[in-house]
Amino acid sequence: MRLSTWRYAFRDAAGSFRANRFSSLSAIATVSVSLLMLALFLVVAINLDSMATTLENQVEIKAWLDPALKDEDIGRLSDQVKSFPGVQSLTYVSAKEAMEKLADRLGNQQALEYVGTNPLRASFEVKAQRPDDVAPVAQAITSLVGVQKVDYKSDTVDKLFRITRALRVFSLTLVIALALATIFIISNTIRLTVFARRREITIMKLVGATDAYIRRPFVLEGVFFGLVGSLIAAALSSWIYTGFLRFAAANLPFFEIVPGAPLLRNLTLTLLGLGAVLGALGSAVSVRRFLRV
Amino acid sequence: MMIQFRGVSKIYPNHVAALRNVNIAVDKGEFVFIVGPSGAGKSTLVKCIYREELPTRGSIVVDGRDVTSLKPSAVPYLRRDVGVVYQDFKLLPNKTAYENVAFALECTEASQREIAKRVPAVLELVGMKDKVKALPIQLSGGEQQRIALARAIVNSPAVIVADEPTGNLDPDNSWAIIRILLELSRMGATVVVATHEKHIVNNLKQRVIAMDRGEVVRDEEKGAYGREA
Repeated sequence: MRLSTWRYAFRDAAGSFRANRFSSLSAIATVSVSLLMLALFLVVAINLDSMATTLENQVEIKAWLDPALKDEDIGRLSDQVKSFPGVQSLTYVSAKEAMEKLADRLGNQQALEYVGTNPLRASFEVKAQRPDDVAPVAQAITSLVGVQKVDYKSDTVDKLFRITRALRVFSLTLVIALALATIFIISNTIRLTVFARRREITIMKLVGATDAYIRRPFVLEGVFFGLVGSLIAAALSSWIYTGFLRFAAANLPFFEIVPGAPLLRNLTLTLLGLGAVLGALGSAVSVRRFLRV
Repeated sequence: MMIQFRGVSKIYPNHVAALRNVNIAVDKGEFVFIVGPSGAGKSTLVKCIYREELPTRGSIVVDGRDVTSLKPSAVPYLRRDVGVVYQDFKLLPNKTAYENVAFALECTEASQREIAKRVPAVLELVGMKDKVKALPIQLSGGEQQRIALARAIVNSPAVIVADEPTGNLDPDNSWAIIRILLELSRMGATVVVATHEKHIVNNLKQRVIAMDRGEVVRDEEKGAYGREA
């Protein structure tokens, strides 16, 4: 393809932008508002997900060991548990460490002396790779010889996992619905700008322009609308999120809000990519209707 | 043969038969009038040449191309070979006379240098080289049609098709347009003009194909508009 072809396309796109200033600006406004909605919902969804993950990671399986076990038995048992599928990490807590922890928590270093002997048992603290692994891993550990008791607060944990799963399904559904609505709104807005130039498209067809040649300036225009619109959406959503982070730091110390540094950069890149692709697709689809001459 | 229609029929979705078994052959460099009352099928016939309409039956060959079986991606190249002049000019209102003509070349992805060479040449040929910067709205109907004509010929097409080119023009301008078309035919282009301007057809004594209700009813060398004329 010749360079001049692209020059014509850029010139036409710029000319059309100038000639249809009002509809171009309204297209950009529509893109930025709909992408802003999407972006804000996306950060809420990401935060919900991160909260769910934090909660899930706190789930731990505790396995108390037979006090009669020797050190080498404990080492063998530990290796065995680590080899179970779905086990992420294992921490051995000896009876002495358990007592120290308890004493720490009670704030009374003399606890041991009062009791005389240590009534606590040594234990493994096991973390699963995924929430779904918790129950089977606990089951498997229970069946080992030398393990006396296994606990992971199954009722509470099952409830927690049900809630986090529902939360994720809900937010994913909403994000998809919102994304579809965004595509619809953007392609409709671009269709208006294409409709304003349908006569020109017909004439181009009749003088022998190829479909690709006709499409090119419209697609460029659509990409431009998408990029500018998404830039505005990214700037606004970053501003809003940073403000919210500041507010949360002061007023909601117990909430773990996802920090802005990598999130907002990724959000901006996603919005820019989404804007460009939606703009290009929206234009290409809208032009196609008028190419059948 | 530059244009060949064999058994061409066109039935529109509303069951109107615009063409019925049309057989015509037009040689390279010929000048042909298609005449007939409104609704006779002149426009449909002309539109079939550059495939704005596709016939329901029959075959059409234009400059060696089988128009009826052309792939959609090949249609633009057929249209570059057929210059079309419309009754309503079809100029772009926001482009100047020069840009309207240059536009047709740009659509064929011609280089800037080629455009700068050819556009002034065709504008001079149609007598419009003084009004290159005018917008269509600043031009008279006759002037607009000359620009449209310049646009139709800027690609040096083998075939020039005009659908009622003088329909919106006064007699002087009509004659001017027809004279340019005759000149182009003398230069080797095949020219097909659909019209119902009796006095022009009768004066020129060119080949006349008369149509009525979708059928070719008469095809005469050096013909006239109608027997009654």
